[in-house]
Amino acid sequence: MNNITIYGVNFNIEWAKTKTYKQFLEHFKHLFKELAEDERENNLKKVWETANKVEVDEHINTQPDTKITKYKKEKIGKKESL
Amino acid sequence: MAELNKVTCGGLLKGNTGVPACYMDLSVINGIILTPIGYTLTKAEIASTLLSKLQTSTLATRANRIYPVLNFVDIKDNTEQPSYQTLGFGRKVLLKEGKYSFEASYLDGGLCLSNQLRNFNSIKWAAFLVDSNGVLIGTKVGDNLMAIPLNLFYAFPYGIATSSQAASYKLNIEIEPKYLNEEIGFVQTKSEFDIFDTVKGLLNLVIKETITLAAGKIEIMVTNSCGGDNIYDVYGTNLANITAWISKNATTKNGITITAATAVPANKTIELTLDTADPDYPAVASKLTIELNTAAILAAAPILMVGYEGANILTQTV
Repeated sequence: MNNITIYGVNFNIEWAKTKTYKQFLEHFKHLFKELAEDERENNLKKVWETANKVEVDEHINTQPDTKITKYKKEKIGKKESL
Repeated sequence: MAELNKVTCGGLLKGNTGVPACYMDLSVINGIILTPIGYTLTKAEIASTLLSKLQTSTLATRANRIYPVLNFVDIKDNTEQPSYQTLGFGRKVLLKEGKYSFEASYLDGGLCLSNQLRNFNSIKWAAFLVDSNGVLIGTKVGDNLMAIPLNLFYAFPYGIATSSQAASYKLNIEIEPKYLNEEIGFVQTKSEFDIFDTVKGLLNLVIKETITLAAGKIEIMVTNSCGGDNIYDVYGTNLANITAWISKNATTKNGITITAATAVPANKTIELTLDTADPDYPAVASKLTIELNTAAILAAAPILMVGYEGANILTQTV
């Protein structure tokens, strides 16, 4: 999968696939500091979701270290359930 | 087959003196393309992929790279005259043919190109010559065109400017006569592409940290090695791409994952974020390196910076 660029930041998608959402957020805590917190997190969420082809469940999102089995199933992906 | 006490004398087996209506008449040499010894364009490449072969070769690794210098502004023929011996009764005997030697002047690139070309001195090179009509001249090997092995390539120290003369930049080439006569090979490129505009050498880029490595993050400025100008305004977006960069453990030389590359407009720099959890990320007080990727990678999608190569490697202590 190609890397993706959001707000001038090119993210390593292959690497992002290997990280939990919490690990991903923690690693990039220095990015998008100029943005409001929710917008900052939305940007990072979009990258992580793209990498992992899942959507972060808004309810679970408050517990970002939850394992991948607790993320919503992918909209367009092949996996039926996670 | 060799035979005892038999002398082989030359016989006229091939030559004739008819004048064809269409013939090759080489024009002034406007440039050269330096190549490794033995660099060859095959018949198939000449027929269908000549331009892309030449362009790809300018981006190749050093062992296979070619170096166009296609901007001569003047040429001075210093070819040796044949050497004769005049015998006692006045008859002359040819001792040897003179070697081709010419001095080419260039202006574009100035001292910067001059110093780059001086790196090529004292190394054996081959070259294609390119005349003003875009004829690529080498030596014919079967159906292929091979670059001519040079007896000498020498880039002079620059000539200082005076009140009546601009600074001068020159190089000297020496070639055995056979390569431009009996063994000459040439390809007319003019009808296919403009070789002077489409086949170009690489420019060196220098990287320098503006914020040293801390917690896996480093900020880097990229400048032209000639002139030192920051290329961010032109190539900032291109360089804010993970693929443009390589990081390695300085000891093991194993790659370290770069997790993000960020354009920093305020500083006109690129911030790289490294994976500090990577098993190859060095321990505290150990070193890692950062460099630009190869010229071929920089030229290709998604970076699309054609004609550049990183000239240095940054070393950072964790």
